[in-house]
Amino acid sequence: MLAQRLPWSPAEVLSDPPNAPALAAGARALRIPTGPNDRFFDYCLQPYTPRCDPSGKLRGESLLWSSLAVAGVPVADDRPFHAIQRVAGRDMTVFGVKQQDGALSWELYFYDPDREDPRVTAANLRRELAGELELVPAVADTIGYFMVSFELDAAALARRRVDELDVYLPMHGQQGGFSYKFAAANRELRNTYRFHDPRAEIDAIVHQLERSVFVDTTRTDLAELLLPELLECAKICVARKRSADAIYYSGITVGQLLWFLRRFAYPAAVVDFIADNRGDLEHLRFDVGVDHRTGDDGRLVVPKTSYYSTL
Amino acid sequence: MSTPAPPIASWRRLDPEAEAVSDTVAPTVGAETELHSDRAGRYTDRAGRCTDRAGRCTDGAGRYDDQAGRYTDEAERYEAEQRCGDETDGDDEAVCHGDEADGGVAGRYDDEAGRCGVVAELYGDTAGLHDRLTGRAGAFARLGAVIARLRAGDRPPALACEVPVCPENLDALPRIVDLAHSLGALRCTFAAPTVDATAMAPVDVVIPAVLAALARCRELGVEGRVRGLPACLLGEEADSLEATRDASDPPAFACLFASRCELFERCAGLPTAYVHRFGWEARRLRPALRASPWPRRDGSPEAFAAWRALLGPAARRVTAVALDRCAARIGVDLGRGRSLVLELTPRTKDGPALARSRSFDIRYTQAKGIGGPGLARIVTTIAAAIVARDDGSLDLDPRRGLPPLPLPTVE
Repeated sequence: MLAQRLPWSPAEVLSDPPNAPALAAGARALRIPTGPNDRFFDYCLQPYTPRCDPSGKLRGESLLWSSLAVAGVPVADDRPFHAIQRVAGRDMTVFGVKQQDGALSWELYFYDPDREDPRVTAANLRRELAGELELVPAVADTIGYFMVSFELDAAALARRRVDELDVYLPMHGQQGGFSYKFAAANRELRNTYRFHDPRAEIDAIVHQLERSVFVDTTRTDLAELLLPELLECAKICVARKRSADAIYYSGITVGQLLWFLRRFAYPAAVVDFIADNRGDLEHLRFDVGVDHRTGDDGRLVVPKTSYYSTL
Repeated sequence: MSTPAPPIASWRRLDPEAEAVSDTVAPTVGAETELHSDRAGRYTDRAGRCTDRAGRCTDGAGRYDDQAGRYTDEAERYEAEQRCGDETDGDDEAVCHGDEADGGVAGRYDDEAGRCGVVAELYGDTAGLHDRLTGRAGAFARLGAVIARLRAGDRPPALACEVPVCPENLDALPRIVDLAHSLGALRCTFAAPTVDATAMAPVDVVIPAVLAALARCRELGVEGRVRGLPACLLGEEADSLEATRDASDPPAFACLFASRCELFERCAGLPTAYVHRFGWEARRLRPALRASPWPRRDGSPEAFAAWRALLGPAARRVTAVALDRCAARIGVDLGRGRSLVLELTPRTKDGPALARSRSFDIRYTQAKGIGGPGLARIVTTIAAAIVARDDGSLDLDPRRGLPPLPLPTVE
């Protein structure tokens, strides 16, 4: 019964992206229906149980296609995303939609800490995506990374070229990591991330937020950094970056996501798509991030925000 | 502890502005309060019209007046139309929470089960303060007049007062209790604002005022209750807090210390609007160190099956189970285009509910294609099945996605 409602059969899933027919027709399908084989992962690619029966609802990737449409990315430039989905497998790539300086961009994350899937090593991605997307830096798979990622904006999509990769090394004994930026000729440490259970480790979260070289905590209340609407979540990550601190909330509901998007002034079309399809997104959990630092006038500045789901 | 008020089967919110519209018609503070029944079970209202127990006009033989002068047997349609008011989702879905406000199924028949009551909002102990805070000149006088009329009636309803707590009336709270007592109130509920941050005051100012009011309640034998404030700040009066179960998405309440607090199950913390204005109050909140285990988590497909099984024979009609932070919503397809959603929330002592099982308050919502007695029969049957099968093993854990936390270490 369910299969009859789907525009593609489960057997086709791994070989033929659901957006392919629309792509061939020159259109972009935004509402991608769930399938019987869907899996559900957070932005750390850790599985979660959907909040309700997912049948007849939408896949998280619908948010990606919607954001591309809102950003005015030509449909033809969706091809790298389809190629990634084909190479890495459905549901196995985390995507982030970022808003900085009023512009949307995207980041794709590939996890395989235990080298269980040869498809998503940095070297294999570079090899398999060639022709659709050129990954310029070469990253040796011998490096003990647990994740690699790269950013795409409209220009990079048009060029079909990625000049920098991010490589993440794990912390020992706790959930967290260090990110390094790999370019063609150099590599440098960028960010550190620590993940916390917001209920069991609230003291650690507050400790980090209240100690910052970028946020003047004498002029910024904790409630501006640790948002009460999002505290009810599965995980909180506190990050140290080169020019800002950041906090990520994982496992939030679609209602919380909508609050976040409105709070940080995402384009109305991004918000409207999710609001209009809220009932079909209730089964999913999402993840969001906020960079912050104190501005010249002493007020808190949020230079970048992001939201995540899986492709 | 204050003296608890006697059980009141149904409370209705008093609207003195509406009541004052006509002096010729007796106050109709809920049809139930004005109904008279004979021993044969027939009901009449004060106008002498035949009604059913819910106050719906009938011809005395069970047919319903559709208020256009037509008598009809389409009770379902009539009742659905009657319920489609403020509580609808805007697409003709009748919503019933079973409370006094919408005249829900449970509330319609309890004039037989016990006393009925009205809830009056008191903002101040003087006309000046009350009228200023309500923004309506003469509101205080009208409220007093309506209450006086109610008390002069044949069957005066029980009276409870709800006192919206705001910066302007903090000093007056004990005096408001005095006034409520003089009006015959059995209960005073001090309700802190939960949405409008401009109407909020810091807890270090609000809490002493509310505690003083609760003390006055105790002196006068009035049941004192609190709504919308953190339980941990109420000290020995923590039991006065009405359980704050925040089922909104995104959450309307939050607390930094929820994970370590024994009071978590009935206290949601501070309104998020408050946190944005006054901060997390990390140095003022006093979480009670938790020693009891957290309720079991749900979320696995097996847990879904267990939820479905609660419905007994109706389990085969379940179309969806959504486990939210604080509620299980179970979609039920009744066939022929009829459906409803059962909503189970953690059991309360006296929260609005059609029925209470061992662990849950049971309600329904989003009834489609059905109403009236047919709907009542179905939901009553399903609720009875849940009551019979709920052995307490299923819990709604407001936390989500987390492993059980280790017990806190008491130093």
